[in-house]
Amino acid sequence: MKEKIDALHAEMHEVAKELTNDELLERFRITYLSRKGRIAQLFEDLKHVPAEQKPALGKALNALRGEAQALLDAATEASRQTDRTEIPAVDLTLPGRGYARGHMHIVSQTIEEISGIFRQMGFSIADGPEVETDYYNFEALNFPADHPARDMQDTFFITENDLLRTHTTPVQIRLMERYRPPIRAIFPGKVYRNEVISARSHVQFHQIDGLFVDTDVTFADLKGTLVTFANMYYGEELRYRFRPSFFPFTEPSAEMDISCYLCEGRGCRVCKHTGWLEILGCGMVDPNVYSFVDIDPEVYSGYAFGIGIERTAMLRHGIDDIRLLFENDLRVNHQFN
Amino acid sequence: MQLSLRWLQNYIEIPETPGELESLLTGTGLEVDSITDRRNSFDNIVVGEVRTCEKHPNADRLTVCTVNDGMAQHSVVCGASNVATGQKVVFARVGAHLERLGFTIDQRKIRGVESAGMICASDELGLDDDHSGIMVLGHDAVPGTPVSSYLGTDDVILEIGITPNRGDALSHVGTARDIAAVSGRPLQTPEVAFPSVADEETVDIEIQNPALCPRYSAAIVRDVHVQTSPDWLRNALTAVGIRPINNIVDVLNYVMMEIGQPMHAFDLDQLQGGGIVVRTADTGEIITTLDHIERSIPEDALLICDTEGPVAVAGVMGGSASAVTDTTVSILLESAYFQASSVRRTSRLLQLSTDSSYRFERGTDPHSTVWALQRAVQLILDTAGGRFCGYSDVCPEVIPVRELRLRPAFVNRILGIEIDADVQYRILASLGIELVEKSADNVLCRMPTFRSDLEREIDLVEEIARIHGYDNIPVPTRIEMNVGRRFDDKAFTSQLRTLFLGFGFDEILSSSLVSREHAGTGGDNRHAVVDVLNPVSKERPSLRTSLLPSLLEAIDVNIRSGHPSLRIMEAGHVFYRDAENGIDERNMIALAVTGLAQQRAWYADTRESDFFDMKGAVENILSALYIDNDAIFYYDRASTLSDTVLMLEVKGRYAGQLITVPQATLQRFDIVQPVFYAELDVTVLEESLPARRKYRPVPRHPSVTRDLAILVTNDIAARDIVDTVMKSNAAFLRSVHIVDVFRHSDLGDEKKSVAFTMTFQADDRTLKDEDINASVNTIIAMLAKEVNAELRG
Repeated sequence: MKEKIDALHAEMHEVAKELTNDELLERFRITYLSRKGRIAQLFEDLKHVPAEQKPALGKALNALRGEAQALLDAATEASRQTDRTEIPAVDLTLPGRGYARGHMHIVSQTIEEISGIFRQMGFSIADGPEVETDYYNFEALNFPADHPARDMQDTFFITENDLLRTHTTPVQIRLMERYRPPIRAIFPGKVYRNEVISARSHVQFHQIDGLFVDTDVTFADLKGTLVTFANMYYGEELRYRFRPSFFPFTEPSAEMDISCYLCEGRGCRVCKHTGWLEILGCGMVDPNVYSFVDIDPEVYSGYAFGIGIERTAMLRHGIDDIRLLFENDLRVNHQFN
Repeated sequence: MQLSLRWLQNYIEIPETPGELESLLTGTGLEVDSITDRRNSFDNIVVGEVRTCEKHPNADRLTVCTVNDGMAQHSVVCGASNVATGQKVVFARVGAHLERLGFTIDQRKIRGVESAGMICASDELGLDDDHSGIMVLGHDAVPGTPVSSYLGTDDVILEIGITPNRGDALSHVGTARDIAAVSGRPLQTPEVAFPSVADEETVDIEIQNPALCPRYSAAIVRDVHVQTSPDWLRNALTAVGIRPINNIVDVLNYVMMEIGQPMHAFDLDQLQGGGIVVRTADTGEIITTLDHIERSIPEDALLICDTEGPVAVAGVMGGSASAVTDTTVSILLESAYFQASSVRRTSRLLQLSTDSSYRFERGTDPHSTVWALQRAVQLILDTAGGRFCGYSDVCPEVIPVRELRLRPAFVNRILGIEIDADVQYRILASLGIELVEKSADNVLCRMPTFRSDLEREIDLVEEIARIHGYDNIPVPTRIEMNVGRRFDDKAFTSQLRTLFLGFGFDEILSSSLVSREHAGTGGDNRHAVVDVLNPVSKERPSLRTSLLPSLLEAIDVNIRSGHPSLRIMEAGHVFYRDAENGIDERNMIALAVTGLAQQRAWYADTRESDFFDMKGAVENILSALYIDNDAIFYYDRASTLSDTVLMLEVKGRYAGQLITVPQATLQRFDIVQPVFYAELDVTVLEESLPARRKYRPVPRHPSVTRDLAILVTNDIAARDIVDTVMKSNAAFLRSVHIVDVFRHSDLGDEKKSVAFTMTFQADDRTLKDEDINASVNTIIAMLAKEVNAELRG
């Protein structure tokens, strides 16, 4: 009997160490403390032991029952304590589960941003083919056949008559064929030049051309729109200038410079020590262009402009080699957006 | 084009600083690309006189000289072999900085002998690349004179970008004209005249094609001494980037840079018959030009000929046989007016562009031919001696002077400002435009002959605008925007891109031009590749027929840089020849998945990408566009691409393909890991978009799901099972999804278990078990019939 009590005592203490939840606590109570539990059973067995042993064994059993109750109370208390202060099984400082996030190409970002500004100013967005005909790329844009103006744009020919467009300007002809004025749209896209690939030039790049044709559109309107664009894109503080230039499809023609934002106009390597950065070409649509699309220049007038995307993006982000933009090393692409 | 400030000052006063002049010129449209101020570049470098020369005691090749620099005598060690007593030389004093060499002269010992200064070669000054010996100056040079003033290099050089319309500005006088127009200061050009001559010779000139050569003027000068030009002439040319040749050629280049008229000198004794015939080339004619290259002359190119044949390609380059040489004594000077487009065409066909052709093709002044001859004769007599013997000027037809009407109101209508008519007229006059007749609302103007670009009223609008100043046209505070018809052709591509970015795809942008080998990759080889005729790079002559080669190149690049797990996409055009040999250009968007789909992380095991990572993205796109129910994926057994090609059709049209890129293709891009690729036709997707969606009431009664597992043979596709279930038309069936595919030897080698879950719902009531059981039985029967399915326990 004495051995049984000792064994149960040891077992009870062993089991009590594992009482980490309510179910185990209850099982402990039933096993040891209930009316048919192991301790109750030993009290039952006590009836059959010799009388001289009874007092001592009875005392030991009572002690065992008290101890069982104490173990249960302690474990119950410990369990309750644990509920409040336990260090969770999950470490919340672990990083969260990953969500994939794609990066937009810097050229697309630039196009989207510039397009957004012109959308705000009521411009629609037009598209056109990259394989163009001589007619749309040159002739209807007033590039005479044997004229040095054609040298401004080295051309990839596919046939004598088909070529890769050298600018997005042909879309203006397609638009004026499709719609009557008022026409107010920009046309972003890829263009091609037959040049040796280097840090500064590539066989392909992107442009955004724009066109607004209506009655009474003036050079002053052109300036108003483009200055607004420059202020929205480059900042309100910039200085700008328009200077005469030449494009066969505009007359008068202009280029717009802004004060170099890298050196604030003091002169640096990027602005070739002039203090100015050329940001776009523009002008009033040449009457010869209207003659190809049957618009009367005595009734309508309009302006056109063109912005080089890569140049804009490279200046803005300090990218010194255009080839980086088309090599698609994602260590470059991931730096933006 | 380079211009010299000193040279410009011969024709107009220029009080402006170089910076102010830059703004002025740029403001008129003559864009100053750069300014090189050489005024202080030769500090401490002066004319020196070599007083004594002795061999260096310790070095055979060195000489010890005494040089007088006007203030003192200096002992200088010189390494040049041509140094000699009595020479006037360029002497760099101690302290002088030689920019080209990048060092400052100091006093030091050279092989034990003290040297206090340096005698310079011309390349050491940065004047040219001549290092054959020290520079020997004329005897008139005065020791102590700053070399910059002796050489005339105390100058400011302006690099000007002249637009193709401004041929008139390709000279010092031409540019000075714009300065005069803006500043109001007078332009002074040199007075010229032919010397009087007793027995005047004439030149026999026959112009056979006056349309291409409206005017030909020529003069004869005999007994010239062909030699090196005087310093002033050499320096003037060197300053503007023209290499001096001899006094005859140099004078002609000088006059060209002065007035813009290109000229040519023939050795008169080498001209057979002594006369000039101007005609177009016959087939197969040949000339050896000044650069000693034998050239086939393009048919109909304009030629200058003697009785034997061509002696010059008109306006482009002279022939070597009749060129002026050191032994030439009699010369015939040509000063002509050639039609611009003819010269350009010839120059382009010969692939030969010269200072002369550059100017002719931009339009020269038909009335400057004789002025230029007079000026050239004057300068030749000054620098080469000889005597003027007469000239001829042939102009078969009167060259019309262009007259235009200008309406001041039109100017204001285009520019959007009010410039008084009088102010406009003053601007026109300042440009040499003659106001012939003023009416109430317009003026008749006569264009100066040097402005071939002024052809229309609008051209005069630009003249007024640029002289008035573009920056003086005010910026309005309102933006007028009559928007007219509105459209956005790019919105859909942007939407697709945004969706892919959201799925974690990185956007790339690649060259549309690819190698011939890669051009067909991914394209349907039933279509032919489009090549460019004149690729700048022989490596990339072809337009891509698919975006696949572009994405594979990008994958290769990134694997090489240590990033093999990629999800990338590109939107772009592809090109191929269609049946009618036209060029089909399609707007595509493509995606590729490779490497790990799940990177190492504490919460998940790594997982390699597979076909379904890519397919899932495509399905998500279709669903985002609400066209998933109109889309069908099907095997294209005819495809030559891969045996794992899945085609996509939307509303009955081909809309793209999904492929496991074949090993052979990957190998060509040096890729060894699997790549899963899909391309979608943007136009087809856009045209398939549903109309505006209408609200459908949310069901008020709960749906019930039931799962089934069936055994089918391996050749039954998941798609067949789904189609069969849907085709059963079982009542209340709303959707079916495959949830498990399971193969096991217990099932036999030919069979697989497919589990799917079905959703049932009624609009008007909550479904009861018997409703659903009936439907499920219908479905089981249909599956048994159509795909031979057995129900699994």
